[in-house]
Amino acid sequence: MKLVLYFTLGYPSSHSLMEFLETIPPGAVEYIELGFPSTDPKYDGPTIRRTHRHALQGFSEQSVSETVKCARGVCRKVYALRYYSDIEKDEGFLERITNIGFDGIIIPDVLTDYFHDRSGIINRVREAGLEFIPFVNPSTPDIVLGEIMSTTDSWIYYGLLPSTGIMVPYDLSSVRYRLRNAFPGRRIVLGFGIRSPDEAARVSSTGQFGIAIGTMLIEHLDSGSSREFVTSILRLKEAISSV
Amino acid sequence: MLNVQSEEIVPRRWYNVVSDLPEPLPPPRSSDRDHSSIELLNSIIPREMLRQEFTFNRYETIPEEVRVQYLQIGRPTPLIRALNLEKFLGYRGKIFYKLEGATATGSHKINTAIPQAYYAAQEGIEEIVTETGAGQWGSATALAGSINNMKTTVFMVKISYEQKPARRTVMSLYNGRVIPSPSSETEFGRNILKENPSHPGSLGIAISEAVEYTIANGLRYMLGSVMNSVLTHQSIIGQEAISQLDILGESPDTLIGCVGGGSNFGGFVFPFLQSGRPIELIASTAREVPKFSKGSYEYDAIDSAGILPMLRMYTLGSKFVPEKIYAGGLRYHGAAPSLSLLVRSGRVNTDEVPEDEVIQALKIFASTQGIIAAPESGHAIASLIRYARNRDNQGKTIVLNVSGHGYLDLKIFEGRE
Repeated sequence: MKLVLYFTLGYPSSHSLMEFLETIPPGAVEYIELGFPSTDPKYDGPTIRRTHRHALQGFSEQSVSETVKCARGVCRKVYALRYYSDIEKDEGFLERITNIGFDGIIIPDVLTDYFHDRSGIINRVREAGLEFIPFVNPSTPDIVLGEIMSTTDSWIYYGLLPSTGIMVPYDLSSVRYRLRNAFPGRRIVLGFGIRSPDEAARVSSTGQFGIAIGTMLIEHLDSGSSREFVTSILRLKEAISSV
Repeated sequence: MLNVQSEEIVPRRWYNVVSDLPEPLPPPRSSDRDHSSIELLNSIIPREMLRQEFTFNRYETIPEEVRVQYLQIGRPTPLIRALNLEKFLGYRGKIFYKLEGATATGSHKINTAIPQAYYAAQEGIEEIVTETGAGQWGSATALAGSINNMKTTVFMVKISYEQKPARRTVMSLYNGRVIPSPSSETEFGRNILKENPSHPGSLGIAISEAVEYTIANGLRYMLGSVMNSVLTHQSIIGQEAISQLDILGESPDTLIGCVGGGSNFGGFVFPFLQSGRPIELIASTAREVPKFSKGSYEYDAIDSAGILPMLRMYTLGSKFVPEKIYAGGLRYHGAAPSLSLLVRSGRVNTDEVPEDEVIQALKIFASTQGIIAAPESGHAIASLIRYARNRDNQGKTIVLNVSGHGYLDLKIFEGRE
């Protein structure tokens, strides 16, 4: 199984984030998602929300290009993550991030809060030359999963929980059954709420393409310890690579 | 056959509508930036409730112990053809009603109180906590606590506590401890009493007190409506009705129910959506609380205190103060997210009825069928009468859900006999 890591752009600072990215061991990480700071990161949990609030102070898009370059050096593809409500207020955003070098974009709120706008934004993402990564979760109805299967061809981000920070118990065998039925043959990355190597190992038993990790690494960014950061990544990698 | 009742009619699993909705159900959201009010749920509601709240599973097995208790409190509830009402209205079609008022506590609320209390008891909890306005939910919770050998503490809005002593008696008979809110049991209550010792209380204050008391004592808090897991439990109503109609060889054209938070309505109609048939669904609400026609579809707080998470729903605003109608259960400012989504998409139609018309409808239902329905259910009856009197609707098979009996609300008829 592959590892996908999430970071908020500009957290703890643009410079410090790049230093952390450079320490990621080669081959350990498949994709990196970089979140654009938002005033309302509505589907994020308390820890990631805090990173958004902090990163907003003094955030400038100028540093993003360098951060993407750093990320690209240690993984296969780099994706932007931004809320639809923010993208709509920022003209030319999709074109700019294509030029910066992002491979694609995840828009976590589009299939829930802006469901009726989905075709328009998916087309615009593609026209800008980006991959559209659908984000679905336990509240996504079967009819919508079917539509996503037939109208998109990239990998799919499946949130195990309705938002991060909500530690809801879930039954992995029914998750596996649901994904197998809804997305036969598609690469699925499972995310939201995976906070330890043990949990990562448990989730990896579903045999999907990858897992996404966010909150768990923030404490290392906070403490400034790149050694513990790397150790955590390697432990995660080890936990999931037996599958 | 006019009435169908057999143990086999009580289903063995609940139905969860989430996977069958036409578009994604927006998830609950924290009401406050720094503290996750969703995380709060982790520590106050039974873990199994939390799992059911967020699951995509279409069916959930009803634990055998819960199913036995459903039988004990009078399930399946009767499905009765309203021949006398049909005759009174001169209706050329069939009218059936499902009588949730026939349960032990007199309303559908017991359908979710029993499993919630059961899941709390499974966690080794010795006391459950909730709030109540008019007392229907408090009664159901108290009985569910009692049959699961747990203590039950109910924070009851003080003005109802004083004006509805009969409800208090019912809750005490079910071994419930009823505390008028605001109370001195919690810091929240003590602060309010310090400002105003004769504060009449409100549902928002009662929720705040119940949640504080739950956290302070490591107990479990019971949710009365609106949440998806509660609607899942209530699906027992619709599933029974489907089996009963099958036995009668009937297939409904129209389903009518009343909406407070949406749990009796959702529980009644959602199981019918599985058939894919174009059954007409009518949600009846109070004209005095026009959530569907004048409310907006947005994220809003479940409770006026803003302690619990926000949900995307039709709402009049969590600070909305409705007129004092008798149907206390319909005074709620919002409606369950799944139901709101189906109203917005046009799958569920709505009807708003003023109290005078409701009282007339209750009198007609009493004098024809002998059932004294709850004022809340009176809205559904009034909508049914409107519907049946419309020439375009002749010849149809209509099923009505009577969510509760009205023996403790007879005051509504004073001066109108």
